[in-house]
Amino acid sequence: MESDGFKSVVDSYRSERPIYEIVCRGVEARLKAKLHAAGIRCTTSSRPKDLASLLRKVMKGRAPTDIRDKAGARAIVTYDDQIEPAKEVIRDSFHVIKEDDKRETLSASELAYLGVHFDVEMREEDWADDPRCVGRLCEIQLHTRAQNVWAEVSHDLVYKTGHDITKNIERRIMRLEALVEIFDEEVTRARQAILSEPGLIEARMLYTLEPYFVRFGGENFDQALSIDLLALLRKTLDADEATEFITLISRFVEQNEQKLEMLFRTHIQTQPPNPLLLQPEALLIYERLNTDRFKLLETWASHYPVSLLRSFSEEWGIPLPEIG
Amino acid sequence: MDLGKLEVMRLIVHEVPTRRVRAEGESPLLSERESPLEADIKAFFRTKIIGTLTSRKAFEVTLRSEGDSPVPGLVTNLLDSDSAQPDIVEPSKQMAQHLYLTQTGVNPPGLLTLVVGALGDQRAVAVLKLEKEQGARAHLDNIEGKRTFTIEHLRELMLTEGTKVFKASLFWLETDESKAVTGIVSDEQQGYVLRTDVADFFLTKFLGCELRHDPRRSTRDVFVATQDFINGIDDPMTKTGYQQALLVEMRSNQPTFNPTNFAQEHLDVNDRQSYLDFLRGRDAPVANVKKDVDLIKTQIRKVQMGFASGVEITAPPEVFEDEETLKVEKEGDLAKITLRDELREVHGK
Repeated sequence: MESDGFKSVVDSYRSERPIYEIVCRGVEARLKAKLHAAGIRCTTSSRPKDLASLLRKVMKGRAPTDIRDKAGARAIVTYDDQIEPAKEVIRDSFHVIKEDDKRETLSASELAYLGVHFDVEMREEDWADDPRCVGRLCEIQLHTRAQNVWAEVSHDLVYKTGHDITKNIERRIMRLEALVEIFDEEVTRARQAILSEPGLIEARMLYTLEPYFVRFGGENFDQALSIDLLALLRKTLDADEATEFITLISRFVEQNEQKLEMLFRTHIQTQPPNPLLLQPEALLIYERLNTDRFKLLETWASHYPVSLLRSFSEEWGIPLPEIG
Repeated sequence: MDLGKLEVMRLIVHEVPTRRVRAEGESPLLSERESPLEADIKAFFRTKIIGTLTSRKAFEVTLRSEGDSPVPGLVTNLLDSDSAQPDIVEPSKQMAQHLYLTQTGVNPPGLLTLVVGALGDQRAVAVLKLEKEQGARAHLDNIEGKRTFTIEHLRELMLTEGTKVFKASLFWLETDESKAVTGIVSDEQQGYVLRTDVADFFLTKFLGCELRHDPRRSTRDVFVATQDFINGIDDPMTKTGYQQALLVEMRSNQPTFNPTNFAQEHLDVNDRQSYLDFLRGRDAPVANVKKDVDLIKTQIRKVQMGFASGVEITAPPEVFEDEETLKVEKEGDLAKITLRDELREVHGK
């Protein structure tokens, strides 16, 4: 390509870049909202493609008009078994032009980068405020945390080696890729072992509560505090409630979804003085207030200040009895 | 109604000073536009309203169709309005003026606050009187040429340790065919002894409301349902204890009966929630009941006979009229009591 052509590409992209920044923000916001609504904790990021990256593709022979992934967003989940549900969410939330799951395209004997890539568009009505964004593609990369670390490290490692790497270096890289795959699998196995371990009841309760907490916008919380509170709160459950804890919470959330969404939204905005209101076990406290506020009060008062529980009762609208 | 669904959306504040009838006093300081609200102010009011209206001083009310108060009409118009954003400036000004004119020198100054919000999918209107321990003239701001209390002023006026929401009311439309306006009113400073001008000021004179349920019927309904619950208790000693506690509560000087607090104070922890669930299942009151024992006075009265030896006999009045069960005869200066009945329990006391 002649220098005039490159200049034209550069100028064109510089004028378009602000539009792609809007596209990135819009896609990332929807991606995060939809994944959280599905109870999938994730971190997201986005940015328009670097000019250098664009020029590199042009220099390799791609026509500028063929380079459509000028916006990129990334969602990083914790566990490998969250990838499939996350894929489903992305398919439901965007118009998917292309989907590329590296795990499905690799043969059994191959080891390589294992992310999932989507080329997506948002709908025309989503860009009512900025029609310039209509039809603009965005590439979504879906990774586990381990895959993300490897993606960033390998980008630095592999690109610097150039095109001709020795078999020795290739083997080293493959071993690192295998480590990432094994790490993800073992993390998933460890989580499943925790969920089936007889003594770790509070951990299982927290695993049940956390997706709903994420769904209502909860992000960071104190896990050790959660375990302590759940150890107390589970004393208020009878045998049936303890056995059917997942159903108990699921039913409660379903019956009170609008109210819970409103409460968590308010607390996230206002950051109230009682930090327990923004912990996952808040869901169980509200459920206990609904079901048996007396047992909750009696159990709670033996360990923690009642004032902390009263703020829950005021938020939920169910009065606690006065105690001497 | 689930008060936990309350969301505060709009709010306007007017300052209402003490009205000194025989001297020149200040007049209300009226806002000309609603206050711009931030999330923390909305959350503050939400929590305060819910906390006040779920207290022991809260009762269900209806609007009176007759009376001098303009509040029922103003509240009804706001709830009925088809507009997504009905005007709240003029109605609230009228409420503030009415509050000022209704008060006397014994009523402290305060901030008349009109709140429009939602209870789930329904519009809700709250009328509050906030009082500060130390009166202070508010400095108003001017937004787009109109006077109002802004966020900083609201924080200074309201979000302080000295702020109390003593008088609160919340109204909504029933979802049944009646579409009647129902509400809850709480006056933390008063019991509802509706026979004094001071006591009924907020409920009757200012808001133009009356208690939704006849206290005599409510008292009877909760008493009967509680007795039925107690009769279902297996253990005779527990049953006796609960029954005595109920009679004590009903005979006490407390102006209200609160099932939640009754459960907490007198029932075993394993029976408390069951009791409330039982009341609910019987459509008996589970919130505060203004106590009036007129319809149950014979049932809560017991006759007690005491003897020089220390023996005491306590029984409902009707037992003393049934000589097959309890016969009282005079033998000279002594009394002879013949009791023919099934012995249920013997226990130390």
